[in-house]
Amino acid sequence: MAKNLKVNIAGVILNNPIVTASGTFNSGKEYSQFIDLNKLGAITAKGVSHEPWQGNPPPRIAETHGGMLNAVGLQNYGAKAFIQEDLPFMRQYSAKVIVNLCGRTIEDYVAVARDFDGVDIDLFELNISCPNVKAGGMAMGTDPKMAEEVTRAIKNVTKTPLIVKLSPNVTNIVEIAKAAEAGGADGLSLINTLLGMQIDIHRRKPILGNKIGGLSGPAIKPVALRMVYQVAKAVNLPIIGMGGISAAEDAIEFIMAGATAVAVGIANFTNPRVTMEILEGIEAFMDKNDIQDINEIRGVIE
Amino acid sequence: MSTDVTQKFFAAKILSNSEVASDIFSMTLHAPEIAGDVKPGQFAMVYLGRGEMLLPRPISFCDANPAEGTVNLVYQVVGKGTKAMAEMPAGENVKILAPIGNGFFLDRITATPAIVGGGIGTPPLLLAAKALAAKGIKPDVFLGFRSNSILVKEFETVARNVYIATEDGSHGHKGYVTELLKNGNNYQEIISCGPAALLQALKTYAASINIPCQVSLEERMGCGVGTCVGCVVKMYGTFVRICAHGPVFDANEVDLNG
Repeated sequence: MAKNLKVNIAGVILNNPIVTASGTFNSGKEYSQFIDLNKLGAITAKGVSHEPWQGNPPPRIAETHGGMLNAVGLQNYGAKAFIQEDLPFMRQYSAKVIVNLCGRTIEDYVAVARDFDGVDIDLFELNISCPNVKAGGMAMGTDPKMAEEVTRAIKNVTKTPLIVKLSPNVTNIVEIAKAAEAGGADGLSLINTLLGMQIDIHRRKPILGNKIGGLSGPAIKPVALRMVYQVAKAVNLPIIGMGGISAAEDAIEFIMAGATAVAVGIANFTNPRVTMEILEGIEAFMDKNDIQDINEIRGVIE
Repeated sequence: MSTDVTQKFFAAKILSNSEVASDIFSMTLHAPEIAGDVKPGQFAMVYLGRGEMLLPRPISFCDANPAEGTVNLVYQVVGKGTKAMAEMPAGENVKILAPIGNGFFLDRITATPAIVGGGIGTPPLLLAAKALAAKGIKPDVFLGFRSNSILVKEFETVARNVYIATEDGSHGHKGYVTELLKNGNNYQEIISCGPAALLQALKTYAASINIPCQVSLEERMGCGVGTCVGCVVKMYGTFVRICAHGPVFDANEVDLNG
């Protein structure tokens, strides 16, 4: 009997648990040169706001040991341009489409959600966790009351299932997760980047134009895994786990910790074909361990 | 955002990788997949294969030989990543993604241009000089270095004249390369690559004598293919991606001061 890799995120069936992380994959066009996008469970598009955002001054990228800092600041052309220029490309493929929503105020978030009224997408991912925008962004994702409020505000204006993306820059991740659940979230994704910094000692200046930025990559994987594990035990929502996943073994760890799907971020930069290698590695692991359904191993860690 | 992208990600055999001047290395790769497609000014992302250094390094093509299926990268060791590149032995494979970027605007060149390079900005200009010479337009080449010069002989085979400046006076004029570039009105355009201060000086000079100036920019890059929006320059007030829209720009269209 064929193995089952299908997973269910808030009623949306993904062909497999492999998702791309927002902001690392654009809308898939560039990576379609190297992989078959039909073999992805879902593509999370770059963050999109109601109006275009300019982003932060360069340098925006700094490599760290086993990780990378970024301070891009969610530069994007706005929802209208995304819907016209990117979405038709994404819709050519069987991968589900997750739209990552950005804003600075609750009104911003509601406005960008409404930009998708009547537009054919599968899931929203609410970005209340980006550390690189001054207002909104992470400020909402680190205050349980605000997180609940913005989640509810969007649920009130859309029927598209809503995943809330959590910031790790909090004392108690479970508290925020429960707040999103109370606000009506249909799923959670975690983690976003951890606040970090790097200094050029010769120039005596921070490397990033924004001084501080968000750390991602293998360096943060243990933190991400711990948070997914804690949240999965505490809430009754499907989770897209992410944070430094760069191999099949990493992905399986997140699933065993309780994630329904896994998102691959900057590992795409290190290896443009990594998503396919992770998928093949999961299948090989299932064969070797006689696992018929990927959902069998979800949350097996007590 | 182009749909006609033909970038390839593959393992290339390192034919040679050796130091040609202090901290400057030349790596030749067997890469028939792309050798015939590389345009002057384009670059490759070079994957280090090291767990602690995740990001590939953007390195410009210095040469490409379609007949032999080889490409050449000349790079400077400036940090841990390029040091790791310098340690890659001949005979092994290195993964690259290429070709990337738009390259120099050579189609519009119909009369002698001034090619101006500074330091490690010099290598990509060799391929440009070769392409121009091949269409019968030998450029005048101005190269500036801190101390050791590189690629001078190679430029001499394809240039009308080669002028050298070094800051320490060890080769050619003692001082900056911009001091050699006089009578700019004799040139149709300036084609340049080098440190930001040089490009800014050339932009100002070209504007003062009313000739076009094309500049090839570098920036810290994440993905190299346009997805991460990490490498940007301000163009007419908005940030554009250097890897996807550049690395070559008309100098008057971009803000070189960040």
